[in-house]
Amino acid sequence: MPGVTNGWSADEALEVLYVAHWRRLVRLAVMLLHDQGAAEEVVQDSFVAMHSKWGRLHDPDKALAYLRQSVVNRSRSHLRHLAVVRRHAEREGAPPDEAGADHTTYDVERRGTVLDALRGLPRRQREVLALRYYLDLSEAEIADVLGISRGAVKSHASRGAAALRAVLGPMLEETR
Amino acid sequence: MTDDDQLRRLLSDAVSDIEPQDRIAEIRASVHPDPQVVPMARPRPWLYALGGAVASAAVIGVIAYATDALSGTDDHASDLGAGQGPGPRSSAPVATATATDSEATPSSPSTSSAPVTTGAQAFAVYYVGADAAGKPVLYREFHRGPRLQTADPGGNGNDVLTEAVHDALATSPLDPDYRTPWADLATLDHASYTTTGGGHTLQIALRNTGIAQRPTSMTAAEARAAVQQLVYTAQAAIGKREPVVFTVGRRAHGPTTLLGVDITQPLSNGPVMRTLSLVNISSPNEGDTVSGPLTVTGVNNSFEGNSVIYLQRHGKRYLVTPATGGQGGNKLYPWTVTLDTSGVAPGEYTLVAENDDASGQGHPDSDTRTIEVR
Repeated sequence: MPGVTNGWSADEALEVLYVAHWRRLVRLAVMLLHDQGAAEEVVQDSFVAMHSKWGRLHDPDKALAYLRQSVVNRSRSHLRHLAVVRRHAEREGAPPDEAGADHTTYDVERRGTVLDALRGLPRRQREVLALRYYLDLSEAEIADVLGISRGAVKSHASRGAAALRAVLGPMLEETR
Repeated sequence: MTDDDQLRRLLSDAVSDIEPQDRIAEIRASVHPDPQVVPMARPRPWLYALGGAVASAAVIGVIAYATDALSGTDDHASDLGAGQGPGPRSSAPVATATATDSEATPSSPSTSSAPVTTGAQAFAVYYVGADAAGKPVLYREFHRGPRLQTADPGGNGNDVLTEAVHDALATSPLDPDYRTPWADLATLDHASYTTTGGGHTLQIALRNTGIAQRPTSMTAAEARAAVQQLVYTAQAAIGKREPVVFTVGRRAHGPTTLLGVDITQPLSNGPVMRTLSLVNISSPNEGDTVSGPLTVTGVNNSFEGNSVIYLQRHGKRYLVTPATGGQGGNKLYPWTVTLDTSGVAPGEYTLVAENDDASGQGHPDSDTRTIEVR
């Protein structure tokens, strides 16, 4: 493929951004989805979409912003789809998923508790917290990713953090 | 340690044992698929060899076919298929000479009545995108087929119909700005256009029964757009504004709604002005490689018929060219312009078609394609 005359080609951008951000973005998607397989799918699709958009992005920072946004949006779509599947399964009388029985070690338990607590939050709060505390994005960056105002980011963040602290209280004490 | 630091640490720790599988190989395969395996996902090899004028000619040829098939139907029909008039409207002698020459072949009656023999027929598929105000509207792009190799004894275009509706439901759009809200929600049982007694029946049968109600996360407008996506795609495939009979599930008395939309009666296409994007590029396709004079075709309904077509890269606009379609009425009007891409540096560009911003609000409707200029 003939390269762009200035900077990376789409293929080069894909390779570089994959190496730098694949793992972190999958982990972000795991926070949003609580399902590693689905998280990998979502991030994979986001990289493919970023590649096709490179002509317009043409800048690694913009591409990373696009990837984040794409991961959040696709995770959201996936959850919607799951909700539909679940309602359908309930109507058909399918048994609910069994809770995992392999949570044996303390570390695994703690991690599961944190992810469960995140999952229990309203969608926006979960997204804001993951972007703020895991990706360390600023309020302005989060507002861009989610397409909401900075004021809304602030209020979702404070409500989400309060709810998380209420659920994870004992753990927060331990880490002091 | 502040509370924020604690949350930061807990969240990072929560996913610290997640080690994703390496998927770079799959991603590479998706962005450069083997054209033999996935014929519609990316530009065809012969496009690389022959360049943009030929690509446009192929699409225009099919458009002419679609428009032919519609003659004699109601006055909404000119936006069906594509509503292109490639020949006389053009002000682009070089590229359209090619387009006009080759249009005769696919639009001839013998070809249009025997779609399976051509091996590479293009057809219109509608997808959901957003207009300038963020409302869900339908955009059309052209796919090529058939992948389904069955003959169509009735000569009613059922192969194309099945393929087009299947794509609308389950195939990702070529243009990443569009989407199908149906992905994973429902699969196609069958689509058919049959003559029964004195009338015709255009039917779409869907398999999943979990789609009677609209998911709470989907707005009513999105649900309507999703259903209209199938109506417009099916009508374009048969070249007629036939109302669509929807059935859901296999049982004789299935649900009476589809995503909450009443399907007890056949569904007609929604009003063009409220259902479709008011500007839509027909050719080139997303990802096409072009060179020299590039014929850009599309449809619009815009203030005084005006759109502006240009290439964009690094925030700069190149080859800004006005296009004239039409205004008013419940339809879209074809436009054609030629951009001489030999005047810009090779590389990837965004091709933009933007309606005249009569309101001055700075948010005109637009459609884009990512293309590569050689």
